[in-house]
Amino acid sequence: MAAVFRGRRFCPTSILVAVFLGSVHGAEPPAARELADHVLAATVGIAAITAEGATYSGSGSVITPVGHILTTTSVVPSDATDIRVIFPGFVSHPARLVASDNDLAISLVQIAAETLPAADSLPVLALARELPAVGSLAYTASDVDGVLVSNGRASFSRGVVSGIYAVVPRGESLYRGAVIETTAAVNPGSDGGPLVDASGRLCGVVSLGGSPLRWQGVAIPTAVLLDRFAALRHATLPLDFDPPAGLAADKATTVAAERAAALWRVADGLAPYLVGIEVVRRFPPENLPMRSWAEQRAAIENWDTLSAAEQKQRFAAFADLMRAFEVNQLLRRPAADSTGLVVAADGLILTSLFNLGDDTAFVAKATGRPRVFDPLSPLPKLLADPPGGLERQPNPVTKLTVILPDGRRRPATVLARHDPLGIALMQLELEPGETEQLAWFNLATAVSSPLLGDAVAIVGRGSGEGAAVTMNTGIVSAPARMRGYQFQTDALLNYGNSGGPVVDAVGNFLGIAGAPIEPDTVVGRLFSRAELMRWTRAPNSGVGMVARADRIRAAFETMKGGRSFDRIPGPYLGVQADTARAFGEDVFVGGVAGGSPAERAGLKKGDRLLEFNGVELATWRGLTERIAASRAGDTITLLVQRRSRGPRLVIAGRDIESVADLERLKKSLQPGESFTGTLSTDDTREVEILLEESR
Amino acid sequence: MNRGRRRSIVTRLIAGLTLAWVAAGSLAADLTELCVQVRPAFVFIAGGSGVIVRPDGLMLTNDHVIGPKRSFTVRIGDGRSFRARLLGRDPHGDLAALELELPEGETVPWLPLGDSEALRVGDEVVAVGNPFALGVLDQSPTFTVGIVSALHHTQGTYTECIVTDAELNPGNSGGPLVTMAGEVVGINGQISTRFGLRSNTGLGFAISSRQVRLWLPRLEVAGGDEVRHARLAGLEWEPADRTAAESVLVKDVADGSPAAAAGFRPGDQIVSLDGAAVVNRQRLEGLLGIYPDGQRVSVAVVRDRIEMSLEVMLTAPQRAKLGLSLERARGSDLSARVETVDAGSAAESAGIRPGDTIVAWGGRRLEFSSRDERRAFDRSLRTSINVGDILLVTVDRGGEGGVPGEAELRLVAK
Repeated sequence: MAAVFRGRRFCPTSILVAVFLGSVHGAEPPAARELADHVLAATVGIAAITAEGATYSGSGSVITPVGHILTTTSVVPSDATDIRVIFPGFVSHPARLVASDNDLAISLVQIAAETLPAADSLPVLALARELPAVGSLAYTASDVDGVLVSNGRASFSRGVVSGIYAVVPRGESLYRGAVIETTAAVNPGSDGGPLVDASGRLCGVVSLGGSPLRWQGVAIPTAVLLDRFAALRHATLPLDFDPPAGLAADKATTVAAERAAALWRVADGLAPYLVGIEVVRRFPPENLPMRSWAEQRAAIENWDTLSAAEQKQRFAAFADLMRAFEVNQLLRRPAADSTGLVVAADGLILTSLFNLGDDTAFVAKATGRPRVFDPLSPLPKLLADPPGGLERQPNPVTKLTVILPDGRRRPATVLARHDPLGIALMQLELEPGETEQLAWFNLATAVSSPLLGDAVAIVGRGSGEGAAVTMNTGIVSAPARMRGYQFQTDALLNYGNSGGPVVDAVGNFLGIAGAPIEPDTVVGRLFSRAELMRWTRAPNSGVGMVARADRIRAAFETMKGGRSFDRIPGPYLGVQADTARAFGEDVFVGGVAGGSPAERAGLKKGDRLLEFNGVELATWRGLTERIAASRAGDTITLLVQRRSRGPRLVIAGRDIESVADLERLKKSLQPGESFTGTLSTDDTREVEILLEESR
Repeated sequence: MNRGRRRSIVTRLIAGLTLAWVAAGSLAADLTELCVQVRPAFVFIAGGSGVIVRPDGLMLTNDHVIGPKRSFTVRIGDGRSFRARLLGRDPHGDLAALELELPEGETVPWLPLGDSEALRVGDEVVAVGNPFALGVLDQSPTFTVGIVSALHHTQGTYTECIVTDAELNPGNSGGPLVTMAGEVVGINGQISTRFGLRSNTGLGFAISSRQVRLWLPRLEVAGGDEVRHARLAGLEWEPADRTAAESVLVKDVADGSPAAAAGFRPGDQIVSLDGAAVVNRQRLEGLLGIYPDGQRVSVAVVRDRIEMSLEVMLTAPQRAKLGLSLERARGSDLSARVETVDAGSAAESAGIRPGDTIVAWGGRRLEFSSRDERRAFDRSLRTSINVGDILLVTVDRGGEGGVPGEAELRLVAK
C-alpha cells in the first residue's frame, strides 16, 4: 500500500481535498501558455531620463486602452523629463508622466493619443481588487537585458505567491505597507513590471526594493493602489477588473495550481509551531547604506557647480555602487528573525545550524570594529582595505531569543548541534509559573525518503508584526546528499526560511531547511566583482539543502540528551575525495583529515586506493559504503598506490618523505617497540588502519 | 493528536480510496517518472554536465565545459564510467560533440532531441545538471523545474536561444533542458548574474535543439577540430533598428558573392529564413548566428510584390585583402592617406587612388585622436574585413579653391 501510495500522491488527494474544502480557484486557471501571450502583449519596457541626465529603466503594465501604463518611481521618477515606452512588436513611443506618488513608489504614465493603435486594440491587463491567495500561482513579466528591444517581447516567469506581509521603507523604495512576495523570477529590469495572479489579472507592481530577509521579488498590491493611489482611486480611468476571458486551461497548469494550493494548506497548518529566532552576535549585522539617487545627490556638496558630464558620471558611479551594495548585502545576515519549529511541548525547538552559526567579521585593525561604508566614497576605495588593514575574527552568537506565535519573547539556549544534518536543537526557557504546554509538531509523524521529483515547500515564518507564514515551492532535486543526511530541493532557500520545516503536498514532514549560502556570511568587507565570481552559493540559488526527516528523527533522542555530532556517526577513516578525478574507475584521495586514522596511517593526498579488504575499489561511493558497513574498532586493509619517482623509504609500514612524517612515526611508536624499514621500489603497498568512532 | 499527523493519516486514506481515480498522466507521478527515465542518459563530464543523444554513445555538452582537452573520463547517470573522445567543437556557439568509447556490443541510455520550434513561452521544462558539483560523489544529478520564459533570444554569443526560469547554476553547463515528454529541447549553458555573483537569478539560457540539429552532422565528422560559424556573405541590409518592421530590406549585393550567386538584388525584402519569420534586423542576425560553415538555407524574399525563394550558401568568414596601403602617420598628422593601391584589387575596383585621404569608413567619419587609434584602424583594414563585405568609403581628393573634393565610393571586399 505504501509503495503504491508513494507514486500517486498529489493528483487524487489534492483534487479531493480541494473538493472537501471548496476549490480555491473555482474555474480552472488559464494555461501558462495562454497567460504568457495575454500578459506579454501588455508588458512594456520603459526608459526615463531626468533633467540632470540620470537614466532609469525597467518594465511597466498597460492598464487602459488609451495607453496608461503603471510602473514604479524607480523606473519613472517624479522628476523624469523624457520617457520612452517600448511595446512588444518592436514599437516604441514617447510618454508623459500623469501622476507619481513617492510614498507608494508608484508612477502612472501615458502615451500620446495619436500613437494609439486602432480603437480597442491596445492589449491591457485587468486589475485585481483584492489580494491574491498565498499559495496560488503567480507570474512576472520583465524587460530584462533589454529583451523587448532585441526580442520584441518581455520575459515570462512562473512561481507562487509565497507570502503577504508588511514592509517598511528601505533603500530606494519609500513604500510602507503590504507587499505580495513571489518565487517567480524578479531581476534588474523587472522593476515596475507586472505581477499577475492565476486568473491573469494584474495583482501587483513589482518593486525591487524587497526584503533583505528573503531576497525574493515583491510587488505593491493593486488592492493597495486602488485604495491609496489618487490617480487610480478616483476611478476616472477606463480600468478593467474582469479576469481575461477565452483563455483555455491545460492539465499542466491546473495540476501545478492544485499542487501549490495543497502545499499551502499544509504550510499554513504549521503556523502554530513556527517561532522566530532572534540572534545577537558580537558584531551586529550590517545594513549597507543603499539609498535613492535623490538622497545621494542632496549629500554631494557643490553638486550645482559640477558640469553636466561630471553629474552624469557621479550618477553612473552611484548606480554601480548601489549594485555592488545590493549583491554584497545578499552575503550578509539580515537583522531579522530566522525560523524555528517547536518539536516538544516543553519548548524544544529545531532550527538550522546556519541560523546559530558563527560568522566571519572583518574588523578594521585601527578601530577594532567593522568599518562603516560611506556611500559618498568611490567604490574602489570601499573595496580596498582601510588604512591599518583588516583583521578576520569570528562573530559568535552572544544571545538567543525566541518569539512565540503569540508574540511572547523568551530566552533560549542551544542544547545540541548536528553538523552533518545542519540542524540545531534549542531549549526554550519559559518564565516561572508559565507551565502551559506549547503547541508542538510531532517528529514521529516524519516520513522518510523524499522522492525525486516530488513537489515540496519550504515553510518560513515572516518577520515583524503578525509574522505571517511564507512558503516557497519546488521539487526534490536529489533525494539523498551528504551520505543520505540531506536532500536537495530547487525551492528557494534564503535567510528567512532557513530552519523552517519542509513538507510535501499531503502533509508529510520531510526535513528542516539548511544553509542558504556558502561559504559563511560576512560582516565588514565588500567583495569585488572578481571575488564574487569565486563565491559558491547565494540565497535563492535553487540549490537548497534540507536535513532529512528520517535522520533527524534518528538523532533526536540523542540530541535531546545534549549530545552534539561533529561528523557522521559510525566508523571513521578520515579521507576526502578528489572530486576532479571522480568519474573514472579509480579512487583518489583528495585530502586527509587532521588527527584521523588515515593520517596516522600515513595516507596522503594523491594516493590511489585500489582495494578495500582485498576487494577492488572502483568508485568513491563504493569506499564510503564499505566504511559504513564496517564498525568502529575494525582494522581494515587498504591497498594503496602512490606513484613515486624512485625508491622510497618505508618504515613501520608508512612512507617517510619528510621530517614531519618522521615525527609522526615517532609519536605513533611506543618506547621499546621494534620496527623494520625497507627501501622500496614498489609503489603499491598494503596499509592497515584501525577505524575509529566518529566524534 | 498532533494536527499534522492526523492530516497525514486522513490523506493516506483518501489516497487509498481514490487509487482507482488515478489518471495515467498524473503530472506529479510523471515528474518522478521523467526524472528516473532521463537520469541514466545524463553525463558527468569535467566540471559540468552532458547528455547522450544516441544509443551508440554520441553525447553533447558545452564547449566551455571541455576546454582545450580532447579526451575525458566521464560517468553516465546509470553509474557506468567511459572514456569520451572529442568529435568536434564550436567555441563560438558553445557546443561540443563527443563519442563514448563503448566496449563491443554495449549500448548506453539516450534521450531523443525534441523540436524547440514547437515550444511556447509558459511550457514546463526540466533542467538536469550538476550544479556546484554536488552530484559527483553520490553520482546523482540535480533536477530543477521551471517554464520557458522567452524564445529566439540573443544573449552574448548565444542567438535564437531558449530562456528559462528553471534554476541553473555553475555546473549545469552542458546539461539538457527537457520537456515533460523527456525530449531534449536545449543544452543549458549560460546564466544571467548580478554583479558577477555566479548563482541563479531566475534567468537561464539554453542552446536550442534546432541549433543542435544543424551542427551535429558537422561536429560528428570534424575529427576533433573546430567547425566554424557561417555568415551570409555579400549582403548589406538596413542597419537601422526599424520598429514595427516585418522584413529586412536588402540595400546592396556584392558581385561574385554567395548572395549574388543566390540571386539577391537590392530592394528585396527578406521575409523568412528556413521557414522562420524575419521580422527585423535583430531576428535576421540572430537566425544567421546558428548555422555552420557550408550550410545551404532557403530565404524567402518579396520582390516587386512577388514572393520568391532563394537558395544561398552560408560560408565562414574569409579574411579579405583590400589591396591598399596607408602612409605612416607623420608628426601630428594622423589622417589616413592612401599610399599604394594594388592593380586588380578591391580598392582599385572601388576607385580609390593613391593620394586619397580616407575621411569616412563604413559610414563613420574618421577622427583619430592618437597614434594608437590610427594604428588600430590600420589593423582593422587587415584583419576585420571579410570577403563579400560592402563598405561605403568617403575619400578626400583635395578640391581646388578650398572646396572640399570628397567622393563617396563603394568598396566590395573580395
